[in-house]
Formats: sequence, C-alpha cells, structure tokens
Amino acid sequence: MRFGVRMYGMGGQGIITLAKLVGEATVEDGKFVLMTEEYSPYVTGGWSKANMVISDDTVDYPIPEQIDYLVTLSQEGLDVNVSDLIPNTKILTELSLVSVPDEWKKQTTEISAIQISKELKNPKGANVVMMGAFSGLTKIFSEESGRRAITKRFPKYVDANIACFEKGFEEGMKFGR
Amino acid sequence: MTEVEYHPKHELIREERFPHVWCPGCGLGIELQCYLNALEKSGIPQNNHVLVSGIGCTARIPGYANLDTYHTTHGRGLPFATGMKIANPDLKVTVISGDGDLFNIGGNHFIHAARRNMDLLVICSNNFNYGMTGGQHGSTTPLTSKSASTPYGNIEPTFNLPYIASALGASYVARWTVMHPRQLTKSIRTAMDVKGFAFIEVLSPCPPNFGKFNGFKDGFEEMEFYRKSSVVQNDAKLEDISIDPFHGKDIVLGDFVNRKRASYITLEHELIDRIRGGGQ
Amino acid sequence: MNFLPPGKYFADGNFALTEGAIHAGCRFFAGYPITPSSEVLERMSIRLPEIGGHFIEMEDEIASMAAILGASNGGSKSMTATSGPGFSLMQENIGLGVITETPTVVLDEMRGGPSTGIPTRVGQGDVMQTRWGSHGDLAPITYAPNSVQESFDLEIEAFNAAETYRQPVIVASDQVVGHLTEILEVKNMEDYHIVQRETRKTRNGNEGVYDYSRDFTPMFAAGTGFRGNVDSLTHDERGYPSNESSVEKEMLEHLLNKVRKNEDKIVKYEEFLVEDSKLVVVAYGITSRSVKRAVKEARKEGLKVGMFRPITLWPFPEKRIRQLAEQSKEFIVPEINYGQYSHSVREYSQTETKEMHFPPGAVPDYRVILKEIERCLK
Repeated sequence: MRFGVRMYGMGGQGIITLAKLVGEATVEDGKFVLMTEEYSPYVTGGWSKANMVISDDTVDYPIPEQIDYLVTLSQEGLDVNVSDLIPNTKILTELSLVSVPDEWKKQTTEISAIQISKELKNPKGANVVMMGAFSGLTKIFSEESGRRAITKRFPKYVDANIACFEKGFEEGMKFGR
Repeated sequence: MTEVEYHPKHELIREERFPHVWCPGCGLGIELQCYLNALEKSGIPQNNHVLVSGIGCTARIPGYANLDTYHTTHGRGLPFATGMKIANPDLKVTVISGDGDLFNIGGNHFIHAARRNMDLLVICSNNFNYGMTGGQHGSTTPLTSKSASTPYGNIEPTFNLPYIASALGASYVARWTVMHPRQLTKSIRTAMDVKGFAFIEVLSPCPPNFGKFNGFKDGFEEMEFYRKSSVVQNDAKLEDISIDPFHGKDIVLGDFVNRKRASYITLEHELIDRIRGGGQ
Repeated sequence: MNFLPPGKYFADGNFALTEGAIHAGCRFFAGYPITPSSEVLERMSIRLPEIGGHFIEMEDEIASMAAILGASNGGSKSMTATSGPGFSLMQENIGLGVITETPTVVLDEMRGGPSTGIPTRVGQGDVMQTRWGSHGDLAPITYAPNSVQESFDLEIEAFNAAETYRQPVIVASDQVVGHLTEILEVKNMEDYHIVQRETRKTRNGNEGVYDYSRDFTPMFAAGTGFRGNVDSLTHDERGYPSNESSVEKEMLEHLLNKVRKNEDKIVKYEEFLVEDSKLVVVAYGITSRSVKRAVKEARKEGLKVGMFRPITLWPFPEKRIRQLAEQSKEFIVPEINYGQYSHSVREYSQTETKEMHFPPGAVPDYRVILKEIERCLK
C-alpha cells in the first residue's frame, strides 16, 4: 500500500498542522509517512501545501506519485490541483469555502469544519475537525491514534480538540467505506 | 659585566621567540610592555589571561606573550574572542590588533561586539596604514596624507575611533600614544576590571611606511610629533576628536568613558538562570 | 528537557540535526539566519539555554564561523548552520579551523545557486566546495544525510569525527532533507557512542602544542595554564610560526595524513543491489532516494543495476568505487547540479561515467533516471 495525499489551504488555516497531526497519528499506527511542505512566496496570506506519502513500507522517493486523497480548505486548493488528480481521487473539502464542480461531486466529501469548530467553541479547531473527517473517511489511521497525536501536540487544549476530532470523525464515517 | 640570566619579564614572555619581527622605531614593543605591566598589576591570575588577534603587525603581539594566545584570520579576532569568552567566561580575553584589522576588514565585528557590550578588552594599535603589506591607506589614514596607495594624498575622511566606540555603548573608551606608556599601562589596567566592552586606541609610529611617506626621518621623530601634537583632555567632546595632525589640529588623548552598562555575559547568565529556573 | 527522550518522532530534518547535535554534546551555537537552515538556529536558541549551553546570533557567517572556533578553543563543542551564500563566507575560517586543528561542525544545507539562487529550494551545488572550498590543501570530512534519521545520527558522527580528527567537519544536507518530515527513532542516550573531549592542562617540559608524529594529540583548553600559541600561520609543533618550507611540509602532511591514514575508519556508504550489477548509479543526499526508487523499478524489468550511496562524500570512498568499477562497465551520477561529484567518480573509477544534470529547485524525477538506466542496459 502506498498512498499519496495532498493538503492545501490558505496561510493561517492550520493546513501544515493538519498534515503533521495526520502524519503523527499514522506513524503511531506503525505505518511509514513522509511529508513535505510548500508555501507561496508571500510571508502571510498565501497558500500552503503539504504532500504526504503514506506506506506500509519505508518511503524512498519523497514525492507522491499520484494524489489518492486531496484535502482542501480553499477554493484555490481544488482549482490548482485538479490537473494532478486521478479518476479515483477522494476529495475532502470545507463546505463553506469550496464549491465543487459537478464532475467531481461524486467523489467529494464536503465537511462544515468551520461551523462545527465554532459550535464546539473551538474556532481554531477546524483543521482538527478535518483530521477527524479524514480518519473517519479513509481509516488510514485509527481513532485512538488520532486522539494520542492530538494529546501530544496540544497538551493544554486536549478536550476541546478531541471534541473537534470526534465530531469530524463522525461526519467522515457517514461517507466512509 | 654582569650576566643576566633572565629577561625581567621572563615569566610573561616567550623568550625563545625573540628577537621580534617589528621594525626599528616601531611602537609595538612598547605596547606589549605596557600590556604586560598592566597584566602583572591586574591581580587576575596569569593563566586566566588570553590574548587574541587578527592579522597584521600588531596581531603578532600575542605570539610573544606567555599566555594562551590565538593568532586568527584577518579581521576576525573579535568574533573568535566573542565565542571564546561566552564559552568560558572565567577568561580575561584581550583582543590586540591593528586599525586595519579591527576597523577596515573587521569593522562590522567591531560595531557588533561594542553594541553587545561584549566582555572583551580591545586594544587597537593605530599606525594610520597597513604596515605589514607595505603601507597602503585605510580608514584611519589622515586626510591628505600619503601612503603606498594614496600617492597623491588621501581624499577619504577618517574614522574617529573613540567616538565610534562610545556611540556604540562601550563601557570604557580611551586613547593614548606609545609615548605615554605610564598612562597607557594605567588605562589597560583599569580596562581589565571593566565589565563589558573596553576599547583603547593607541597611536603608534610606522617608520618605514606611513612615517617615510609623510616625511618623518625615523620612528622617534614620528613618535615625537604625535607626542607634541597631543593634549590630554579626559572630558573631551568625542565627536570633535578625529585625528588630523597635519593641519594643525591637536591629537586629543585621555580616559574618555568609564560607565556601568549591563554587559553581554551578565545578561546572558541572567537569561540562562531564568530559563533554567534558578534566577527567580 | 536535557536530551530528546528515546522514542519515535514524526519530525523534520532540521529538528533532527539540532537534537542530534545536542546529543553529541554541542553546547555552543553561533549562526546567522539563512533559508533553509534557519530552523536549526531558531531551535538552538530555545534548546541551548535550557541545558546551560550558549547561543549567539552573530552579525554574519564569517563571524559565526570565527565564534565557533573561539568557543571550541574555549572548551565547548560547537557548531554553526548555514546554506550556500553563508557557506561561501565561512570558507576562510574553515581553513583556520583546519590549520589550528580546532574541532567544530558546520552544517551546510544546500539550496539552488550560484549566488542567491533559489533560496527556498533544493540544490546540490556545494559538494565540491565542501572538498576544495577553503584555500590550501585540505583533507575534509563531509557527511551527506538523505533522511531525517540520518540527519540525527550523522550529526552525532560529525561531532565525533571533529573531535577525533580535530578539524571542522561538514554536514552537507539539502533543503528537502532539512524540511521533510518523517519518522525519527531516538535510542537511549547510553546507546550512542559520544566522543568526549580530552584536553591537556599544564604543560610538561618541552611538550608542544602539537605532535606531528601522532594522528591525534589532545588540544589544550584556554585558561588552564598550558600557555600555548594557536596560529593561523604555518607553525611548528611548538605552535610557533615559521616561513620554512620544511615546517610547512611537516605540518601539512600531518594535517592531511591524520585523515588520509584513517580513511577506512571514516568512510561510510550504503549499497543497494550492487552484488551482480552491471551498472552502478552513484547518488548522495536526496537524489539517492529517487535513485533507489528507479533501481527498484529497473530490477522489476530484470535490469542488473545497483545504487552506491556515499554517506561520507569526503574522504571519497575510493577503494569501494575501484572495486565496483571492475564489475560495472559504467557509472551514472545524477546530481542536482551540472556535474560535480561525477568528476571524482570518473577520476577514481577510471571508468565511463555518465553525468545526469538536474537543475536546482526540484527532487530528481525517478522516471528520468529509470529511462537512463534502461538506455544503458538495454
């Protein structure tokens, strides 16, 4: 098994943190993960992107050869990456910020991560909601490993973030296999 | 004739390295002597004194002192000494180097070491030119004077070294000539106790180069000229004391600045204590 | 936190380089911010005060290099981190470290060049600068990690080599290895071999600062009463400058031979499927990960190709390359530059060596390398 994952968003949305959380949780499960980051040249307000390779075996080549999963929190994230997608790519988007063309609809899961995080009184936690949704949708890492990764990364805000993660997980499960 | 078994300072010098490399009439021997006299009186154990230099005639001074001595690359004595002092703050680190080394190629390091108020004593021997390479001009060469690379007279304004050091916040600033050995020794001795950045400019003749190019018969005549042109004025306004003796301006000497200002090492140790929870 | 606790981390190369250095005993860092190695400087500014070490951001890379040499002579294990432009500025004082036999570690995280080049993206254009960058004769030791794990492990080895051979040792990483995040496994502290510095304090009789008859003599630490002279000029065993060619010969041959004679102990490499290979691809750093992938694919097609990865770029793994040259009719050397290490491979192997030039800015595409392997073997 070797998956390619791309995560994309605007600066400040926590896209790199999301990728790191996913990576940490997946590593907890004993898989191999390699992540590279890229940013627009602007110091603030530009795009950020994480490419991940997730594998049962050690990862040599650091570039994902195909995008099996695209997670985007911005419209740009869909528009600029469409050309890299394959027919089976599963797409995960933030409902309020990304409008998905009909041709991609059937493989897209739209999550109201921002609204959920607000409802849970953790408005900075939209990326953690997405992490939960990614886990629920793909089963790439377990719920338990997700919780552990969150606890490690946010030792002061465990409960609020676990709440976001679990709600996201629930949402993702609805669309999962 | 009585036989002398030892040089009177044999504990402080590397006798086997003499005779030294300097030219007849050079002031650097006097400077070495003044430094060693101050060191003896400092009360700081000889083993704790370290001498660091860059490259040039003055930078050869450490090689003759019986201490731990470091002759580094051109202009880089100050950052080398900075690293050494931070790594081992028990050392009394003195950087002794020339005007070209400290202010031309090493100028950037000087302004930053002084700005940090790094706990170093810096003795700058100023002979108004690059002696070792044959007397080319630099940033301390007086206006209109001649050198191997200003055959028609120097058109560049000079650095006013004490003014620079003071403006940057040095704890201690002084200027003397090698014809003022007692004052110079006292000044070095005082500076050895200063916390923070201490700077002493020492005017010194360069008979085969700057001296020759500017009409001095020998080193002594050049020294005499500096002595006669000098006035001691400890409270001088430093912005006014740039060196321009060939147009009748006095060379102003003195112990200009001696102030208490938090030094780098003090602040760094406070920071480490705070981070490690020992300094509450 | 004193040392990074043992365990499994999802960490980037710059994190691993920093923590590896601290494991190795680094207690002094001087540096100047530069992409892509700034995270090392930033993490050092947090970590060193925590453990009673010293961090200083200097005015430039020249000063940084001078400061770490000063600190090392003052008794601290020290390092700096930089990238191409800063590495260029450090060259003169790397030579000072060589001639004064001062242990220290210089991390050069390669990006695109020349000059400012592509600051944020990968390059491998500094490899010959790590060999010949400082003027005069040198016997450099350079490590080239290709993963986060190696960034940690080789940083420790670099410090050990610096102490053992008493000279600046270079870790030539690159922007991708520095910034990629993957698994880092840290063992218990006692499972690492750390070379502790031995110093001389008082001087016995005519004992010199150096002893050119031995590969290793402990250095003296400033302020302990040794009263030695450390000099950038060519010097004799007493540490005193000399203009004599005979002294230069004695000193220089000592500086070179202490490394050359111990090459077998220093040289490290990785081999992948070379046993029966008719073609060997030589690659280091991030490029080796593209090559490994290409070799795996080629093997599926039945092509007898293997990879040789120098982990120490210098000393050059001469013996092994010569052996491989006997079985392999050809070498391919892909690099993110326009032909650098390939020159040494060609020189030492005296075998047909094909260069593959990848422009700085991207990880070499393994498919391009695969095509070249196919072209050579089909």
